[in-house]
Amino acid sequence: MSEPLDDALLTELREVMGGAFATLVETFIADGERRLDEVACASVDDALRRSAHALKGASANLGAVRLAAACGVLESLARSGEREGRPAALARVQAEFTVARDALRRYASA
Amino acid sequence: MGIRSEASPDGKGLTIAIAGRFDFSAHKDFRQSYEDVGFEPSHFTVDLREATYLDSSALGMLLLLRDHAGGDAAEVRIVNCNADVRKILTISNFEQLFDIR
Amino acid sequence: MTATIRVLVADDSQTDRLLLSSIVAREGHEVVTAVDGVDALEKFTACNPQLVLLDALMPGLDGFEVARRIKDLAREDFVPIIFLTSLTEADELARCLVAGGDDFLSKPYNTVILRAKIIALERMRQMHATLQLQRDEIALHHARLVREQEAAKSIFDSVAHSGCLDADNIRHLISPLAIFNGDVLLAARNPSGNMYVLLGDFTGHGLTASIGAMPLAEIFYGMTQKGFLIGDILRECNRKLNEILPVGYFCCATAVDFNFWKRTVEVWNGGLPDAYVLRGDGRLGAVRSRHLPLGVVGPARFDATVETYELEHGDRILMCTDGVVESRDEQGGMFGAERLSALLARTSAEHAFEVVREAVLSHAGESAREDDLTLVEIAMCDEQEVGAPASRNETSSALGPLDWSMTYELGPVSMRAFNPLPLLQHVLMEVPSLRSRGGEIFTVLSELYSNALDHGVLRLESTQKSSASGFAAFYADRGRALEHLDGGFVRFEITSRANERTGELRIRVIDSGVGFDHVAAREGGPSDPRRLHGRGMRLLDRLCDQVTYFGRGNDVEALFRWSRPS
Repeated sequence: MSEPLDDALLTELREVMGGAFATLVETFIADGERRLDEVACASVDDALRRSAHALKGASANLGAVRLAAACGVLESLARSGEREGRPAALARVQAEFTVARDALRRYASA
Repeated sequence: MGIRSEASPDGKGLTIAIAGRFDFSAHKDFRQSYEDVGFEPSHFTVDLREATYLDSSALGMLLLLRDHAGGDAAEVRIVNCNADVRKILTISNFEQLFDIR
Repeated sequence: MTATIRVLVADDSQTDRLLLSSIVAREGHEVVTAVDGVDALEKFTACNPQLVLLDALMPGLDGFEVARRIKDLAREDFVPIIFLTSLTEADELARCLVAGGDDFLSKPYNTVILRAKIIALERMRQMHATLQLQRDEIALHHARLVREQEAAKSIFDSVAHSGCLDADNIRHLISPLAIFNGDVLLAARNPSGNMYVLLGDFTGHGLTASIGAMPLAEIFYGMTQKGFLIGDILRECNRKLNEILPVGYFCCATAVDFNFWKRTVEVWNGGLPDAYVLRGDGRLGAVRSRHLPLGVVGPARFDATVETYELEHGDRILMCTDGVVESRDEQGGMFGAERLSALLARTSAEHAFEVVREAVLSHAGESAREDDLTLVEIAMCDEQEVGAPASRNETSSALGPLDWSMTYELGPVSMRAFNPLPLLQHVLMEVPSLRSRGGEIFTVLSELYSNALDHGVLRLESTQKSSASGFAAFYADRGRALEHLDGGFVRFEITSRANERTGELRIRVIDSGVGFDHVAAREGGPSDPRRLHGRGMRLLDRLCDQVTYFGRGNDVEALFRWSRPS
């Protein structure tokens, strides 16, 4: 299994953000939790697709590559309209978010 | 539009060859072709074999060359004119001022 | 290192906004953030950023629509927009650019790339701004130039005026702005009623062309009014232009002198396309350019030789500048002189002007502009049809010189080179009461002088002038005779006697020639050849109150009587 975080990207990001890195991480986590709620409650395919897409982008920016990939899968399903596999994809996203969240916090405090 | 100048075979004159349209845009290049040549040509030849078009600013430039070359005492030849160029020179009666062949 | 700019970051994700703001601020730029499309437009209007980072997918007003509106708001300014996107499909990315985006940045954001894009787009923005400044400066200069041209044109108009271009026997086409293409058309009557017309085409455009036209017009109108011959006027015009125009600048011109009494026209063409002689019987003649244009050579080399044609009533002279001949159709083909003369050959003289005008305009097609055509036609007619030339009718209470006399004698050197008529006319016109008869007096002076010189001193036969080719031969003979002249004289004895009420002017002209049999000529009927050609006896009888011949006929006196109304 690959790493949840892209170290190289995060190193550069921490350098760019300087002291604001920790704030960025917390902002991402707060944002992400909101997006997770949106995704879980989305009743229309279009809304699901948008939220999954947004979370994918934010995750990629923070180097949370596995989470981004999982969002991508959910986004594709929402775009194609397929029902099957959706619960599994959603569960996957939630799981990867938790992993990424913890990893980022550890990284930030290191 | 291209203008080249070189000393004549006998070394005493200057030949200026003009390709393309001989019009207002040629002004600077034409002047430069005879102004700083490093010697005093005793006669000038303007070769229009490759000239496609001549307008009144070209006539003006020829007069400038003639003036530079000594005015009434100047020896300026205009050679290899095609029919259109010939016609323009004829209407202006420039053969009264230039040796046209 | 780019100068500091203001950047608008519009993204609905707080994380992305924070991230981007940090990257941009780190480069030293000022950051403004917006949370969605509507906010982006408000912030854009309020803060005038130099760069916009715009999320492509936002809720509500989407990024593409925002981009379109931002471009509208920016109007002529260039504000680059970088789309922020995690779209990966090529056509979706392309859509960003089509919608008005100038670049895109994919997630995850690469700091190095974003920095480079900011620098590149800022460079473009500055270049665009410079171009705008230059464009505005150019527009300002242009506007100034147009104002200067308008001023120049109004000065020119007051100098040139239209003379007698509105005479019944003239048809012409010339744009009021033609002066800026170098085209000039002047027409005037001289004191004896001749009509002079000068058509000119200056090299250069704009002010360069119009400046030369002013002294030309002054000379033309001034000398015509004083009674100079067309050749003298051309010589003086050439001298002046040669003096003031820089080398390489000149004026191609055709000039005509219409004499309605003798039904002749003298034509001088220096550098313009052929002028045409259109005859009522269908014959067509071409008057080629035989001279260098005005202003090219100095006075010593200038040739004022004219060609003389006899015209019937209704015959015409047609002249044009090269705008007509060089008029191009949509494929670039010229109208051409051959086409023009072929057209004239098959058109009647009275319709020629309209036919030519129509033909040239239809040849040029869609791009036809009448503004570019300069065309003039003068018809031979009776003087009554064009009226007498306006005389200087000054009713001054000053009496002027009333009793005086003068003798003016010309020897061979003067006769070769000098025309005394304008000077003598000037003296005569100092007498106020003579001014209203200025035309007749001048005509009589001219006739007497040409008789005395041509037939008296030079001993030329007048009968030569009765044929078309005879004119050329006559003037050639005259030129030779003048050149070889080494003796002889023409003497004017002018006497004026008057009181406040009446007066008489006697103009006596004596020449050193052998004279002619004036007695026999007087006795012969009106159709006696000696009366019809040479010596102009018929004309003199008509214009003067009395004509007397003395001695062997080389001594003639013309008498004018006048009275002032009480």
